Amino acid sequence: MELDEKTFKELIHNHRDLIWRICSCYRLNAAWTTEDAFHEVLCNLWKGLGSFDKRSSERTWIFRVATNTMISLTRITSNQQNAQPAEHQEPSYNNEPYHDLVGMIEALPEPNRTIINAHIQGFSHAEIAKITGLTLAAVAMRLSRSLHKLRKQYNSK
Amino acid sequence: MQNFDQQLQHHKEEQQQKRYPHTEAELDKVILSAVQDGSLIEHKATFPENHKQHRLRSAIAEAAVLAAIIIPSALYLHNRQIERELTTIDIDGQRIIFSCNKECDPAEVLDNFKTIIK
Repeated sequence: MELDEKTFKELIHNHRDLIWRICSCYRLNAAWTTEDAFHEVLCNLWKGLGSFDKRSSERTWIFRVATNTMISLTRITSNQQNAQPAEHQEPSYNNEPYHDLVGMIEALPEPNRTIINAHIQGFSHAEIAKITGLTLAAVAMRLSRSLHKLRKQYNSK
Repeated sequence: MQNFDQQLQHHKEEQQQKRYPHTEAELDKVILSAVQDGSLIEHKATFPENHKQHRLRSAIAEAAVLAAIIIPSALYLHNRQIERELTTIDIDGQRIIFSCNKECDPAEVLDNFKTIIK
């Protein structure tokens, strides 16, 4: 896609909610706000815009870039203490069972966590396959196993 | 207590209802800032990678890049976030303004910056 500020602006306006949601579901160091993460994702989207060839949808591409950015930021900040949820002020996060489920999803290894997050955001199996580079069968298997694992953990509480 | 399927459904609905919380004008500012930063990041290759704080490194690197490579007159307002504190430094009579994380100590930023551009 052409490096064009107008195109980029339209793209971000159209998908700002999705980007925000991805940023807010990763725990970062306390020095990082969701706004910081959002900005970092936008930087990477801008840098990657030139190589976006439209073989996947804009939404799929944005999810992939945003998720990779958040995984990278999580690694950068993981050695530091005081980790807090990026959106710790959100009231629903204090709801105990909900918090448990979010924590269980966070604890999943990659790419299973990405697959579950994409599933929660409403992506189809085919779209998740494009995001992760896995086959359709592999996505279906990992999704099924991850949901089974989450269900088992949840029910054991 | 809700069962797993109810909780998962609740989580899905909460996620899908979540909206970017700032105004259109604020989003435009962040987009502009990201375009500027996304372009600048390409010039960061020579910056030391082992600095203790990523955010601090980012702010210093951008200022260093601007001072050394991009703008001879070196007047730059880095509009990364509205809430950021702005730090102004003078190098050879040229003023550079950049923003840094609120938790950063401006004196430390300046010391590091001076070390880098020596």
